[in-house]
Amino acid sequence: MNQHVVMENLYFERDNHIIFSNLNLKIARNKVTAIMGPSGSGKTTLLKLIGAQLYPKRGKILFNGKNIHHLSRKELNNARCQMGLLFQEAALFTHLNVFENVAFPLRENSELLDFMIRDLVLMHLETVGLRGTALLKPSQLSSGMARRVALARTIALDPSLIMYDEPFTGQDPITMAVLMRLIQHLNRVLGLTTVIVSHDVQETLSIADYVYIIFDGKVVGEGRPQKILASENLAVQQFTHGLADGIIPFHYPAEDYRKDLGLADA
Amino acid sequence: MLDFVQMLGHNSLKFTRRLGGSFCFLCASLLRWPRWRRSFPLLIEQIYFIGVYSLLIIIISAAFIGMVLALQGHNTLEKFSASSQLGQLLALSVIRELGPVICALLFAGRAGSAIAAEIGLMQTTEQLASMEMMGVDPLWRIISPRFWAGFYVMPLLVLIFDMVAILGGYLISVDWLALDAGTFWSNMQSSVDFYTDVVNSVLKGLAFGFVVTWVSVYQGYYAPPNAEGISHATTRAVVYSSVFVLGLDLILTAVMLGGW
Repeated sequence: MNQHVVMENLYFERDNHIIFSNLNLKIARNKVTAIMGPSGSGKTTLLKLIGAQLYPKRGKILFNGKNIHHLSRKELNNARCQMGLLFQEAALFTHLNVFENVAFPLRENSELLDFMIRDLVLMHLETVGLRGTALLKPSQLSSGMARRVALARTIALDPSLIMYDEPFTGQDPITMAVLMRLIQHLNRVLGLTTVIVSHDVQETLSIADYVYIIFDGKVVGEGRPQKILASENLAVQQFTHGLADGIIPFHYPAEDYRKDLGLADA
Repeated sequence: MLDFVQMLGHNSLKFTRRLGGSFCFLCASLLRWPRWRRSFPLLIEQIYFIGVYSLLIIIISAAFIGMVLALQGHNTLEKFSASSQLGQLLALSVIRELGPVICALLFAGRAGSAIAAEIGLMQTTEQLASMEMMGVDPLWRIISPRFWAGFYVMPLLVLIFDMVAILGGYLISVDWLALDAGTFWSNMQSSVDFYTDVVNSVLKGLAFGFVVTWVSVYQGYYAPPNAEGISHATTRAVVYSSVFVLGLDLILTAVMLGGW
């Protein structure tokens, strides 16, 4: 099976607002797939749908060939152990130190002895370059370090799929370069399927094998990075080139501006 | 008129939906197959955070309440030359009503608000979502230990409250108002029944502990993920818990006095 995740005719709405309408998307195994789109296009929602934290109204998401939303609680927990989601805000447990944060999934999901957990945690922290922070609390870390600790925690269970939610947002150039190198390293060395949700065009395209651009609840462009950059689709062009004018509106839909200011009759 | 009926219907449906939702939440939290080896340390940890941290406020409040009750009771009983009954008045008031009710109100203010705020913040910072994505059920890992800890701790806090309040009252009655210590204790002993008073006090504690922690964990778990949401959840946890405790106290007292 070459496809790790398959979305078929996905329809999802929230508060009567359609987020996805008949979305079809495939995530190839062992590849880096980027899902891009303007802010508010539902990228994070898509990751939560893959992780079955949200349920679609119609359509299905197959994870390893099984409909993730039809699994029993036990099967779902097992499936979630095979996928990791790196949250945008790291989501570290604030009452635990760095070591315990990384040890958490191991303690909860395995019967490993303490000394084995210790070694594994230190190895994962070494991978992200933060072994020295083991005894620090999350509040003592910078946002970039917190995200790397969260990455160490995410890979602790050796997932086959790892999803990154806006990994580059708000990072300084050094941290961004480190994160990009880490994502590529994990993908190649551990053979992980990687999904990156981002709107940082240059960084994401430089490490992605395949790219989807979503806008207005649909896929408006897909292909290898070079194909995306050469796309003639207006939405894709506007997004990849950062153009202010185009079919992707900057303004949220609203009443007539003149009318709102009371100038309608002027 | 039609608008009023419509609003009434809308609010009734909303209330019923929330009540049903909170009941489903309660069942989902409690009807989990316990993993004793992992659950027990979590329970002990929460008993420590919820129970031990509430001890100070419970002890101080109980001592003052017992003292004030003794002063007020003596002031009234003296008019009827019945000051010797002060021990009885104190014990029955504290054990039957003041102990469980005030202890529950203090518990809601101290532990209930802390539970709601902690869970609400975990929800806001996506800690619960990340736990879920690690294959760990937050209802089992976070909610259930807090719920059971509150349930087990409340009766113990009520007993401690009762004892400290009576000791506070004893200090005022015997050392300050110069009542005879023997009379104080013997009247108390002859009037307090273990089953109808002490056991009922503990049962009230269990019921109030159940209600306060249920309301608090529910409010925290479903708090909107923002600062205002946590603030409202914390307030609601304390206000709803207090109202439910007082209402439930009326029902329990009626049942207990009705010869149950």
